Amino acid sequence: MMKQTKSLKFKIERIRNFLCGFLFGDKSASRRFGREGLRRKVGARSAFTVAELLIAVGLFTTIITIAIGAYVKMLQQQGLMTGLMAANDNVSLVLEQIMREIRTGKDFNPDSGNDLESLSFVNDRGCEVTYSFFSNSIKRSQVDNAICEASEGILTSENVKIGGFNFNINKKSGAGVLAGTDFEEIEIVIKVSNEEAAGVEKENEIRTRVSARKYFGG
Amino acid sequence: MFLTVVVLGVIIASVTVVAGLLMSYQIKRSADVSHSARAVFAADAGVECMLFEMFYEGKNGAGAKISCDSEGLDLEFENKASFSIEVSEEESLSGTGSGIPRYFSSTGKYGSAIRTIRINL
Repeated sequence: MMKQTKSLKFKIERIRNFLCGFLFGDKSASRRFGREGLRRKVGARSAFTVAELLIAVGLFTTIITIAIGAYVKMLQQQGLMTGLMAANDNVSLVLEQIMREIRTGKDFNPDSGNDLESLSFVNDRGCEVTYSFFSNSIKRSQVDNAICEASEGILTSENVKIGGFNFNINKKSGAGVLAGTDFEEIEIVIKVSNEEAAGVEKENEIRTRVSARKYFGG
Repeated sequence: MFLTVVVLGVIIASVTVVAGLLMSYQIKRSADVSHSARAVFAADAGVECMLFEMFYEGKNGAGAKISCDSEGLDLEFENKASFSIEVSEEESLSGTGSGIPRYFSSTGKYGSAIRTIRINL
């Protein structure tokens, strides 16, 4: 029995020497970190010192604070971007509608200028339509005439905030058989942002150009 | 005990670093959404310009054309998005281009976002 206990103690000593040699590169460290070194005897009990606990808790708190801050920022950014994506999708559809009507439109009023807040023209059905900026949204209105009934409506959805809606109109002069014909190249500027969430808002300025093609129709 | 703590610490630190990196890539990609929208609409303007040029040319003949890449036409918007157009012409038997576009592609750029729209004719 005594022999077995001695053999076990010897094995434990060898393992400790190996680990200390592996970790600290010094087998003698096992003595420093052995019973005399690692375990501080306070009567019959042992524990961490206050300094060790303070350092551990301080490190833990710092790391957790940084991690939570990053996580919250990521969630905020994700929400912001999801809102902006939804806003962009909505504006894309509105823009497509406006561009389709402009492509087949004629008699633009005004027919040139920059930073125009509204644009009126006659669409392919013969209706006089106006696109304008109205209270953080885009409005389409139609004038009553022999072909069309008067109507008006907001095109953008409620969760989309339009910060600006302008037109820049550039005239190109035709040549050859199209001499004397002017072609309106219309630049549409839309400043779109998501509905303000958690005090965060991001605006995106979208610009594109469209030309009227009515003159090529025959 | 000590070894266990070290190994666990290394594993936790590695997982945290990987998660942090993925998170930052995600944020970066999310921020690209607004850039992408600008680039797409710039590319769309390029398509519009090229189609206009082709309709104009079809009506008026090749002599007097309004070119999308001619001088004086601004290919960059005020919001810093820009577009460029690449035209591929049909090859004739002699090996040179016939001048008839086979397809064209309009590339819109804004920041690191590059979006291309290709039109086959």
